[in-house]
Amino acid sequence: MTQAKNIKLLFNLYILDVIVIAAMIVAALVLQFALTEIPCPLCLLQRLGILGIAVGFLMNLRFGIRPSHYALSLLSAIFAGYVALRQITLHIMPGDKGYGEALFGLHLYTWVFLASVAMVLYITVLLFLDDQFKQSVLHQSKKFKILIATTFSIIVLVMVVNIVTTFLECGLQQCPDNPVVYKYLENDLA
Amino acid sequence: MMVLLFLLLLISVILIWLGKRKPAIIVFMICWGLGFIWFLHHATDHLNISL
Repeated sequence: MTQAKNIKLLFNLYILDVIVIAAMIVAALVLQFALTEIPCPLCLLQRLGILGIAVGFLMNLRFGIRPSHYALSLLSAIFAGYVALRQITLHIMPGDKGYGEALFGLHLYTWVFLASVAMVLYITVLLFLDDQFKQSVLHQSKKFKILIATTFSIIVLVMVVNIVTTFLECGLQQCPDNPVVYKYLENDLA
Repeated sequence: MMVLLFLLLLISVILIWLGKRKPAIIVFMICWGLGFIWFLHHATDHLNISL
């Protein structure tokens, strides 16, 4: 494959990564309302970390591939993993049922930890591809530009929905440790 | 507080979309700085747990 094709493949991969990240947050939002599980402050912080991973990929799509963009994604993945690990340790004592319902046998924060570790490994593998930094900007067709704009729209939409639900839960104040009601919803879903 | 962090991240993404690289990185770093300070507070003082 030529270098241009490799770069195009990478750009497609970034789009896929951002969509997967958006899907993870949408899944968390669906569980939040379907199972009436109100996210705790640490859960929200993990969402922030997961969304932050997308920022590095978006920068690669918009400004071309640079190591510093990967660094932002790595920073976010490590942060999300660290917060998730902390929440795991909070519920590590025997008999502790953990926070919220388990999904496929694991709690959401455990999934976040596994996803964060996987993302760190994935970005590390991407960083091994030295050639990407030689020709990092892709000459994009109109169709591809529309695809990138759609990707940006999706992640912005997910972020806005997340901001609205967080505001409904906590307002502008500190979120409670074990939230049981939404602050600004009259008919509580919980 | 948490709304502010998400808002900063959203601003960062919009700045990227608009092609403003450096401001986007600065806002992103402010977001992470605040998030980390908040996390340390939550992990130590707030829950009275020593790390």
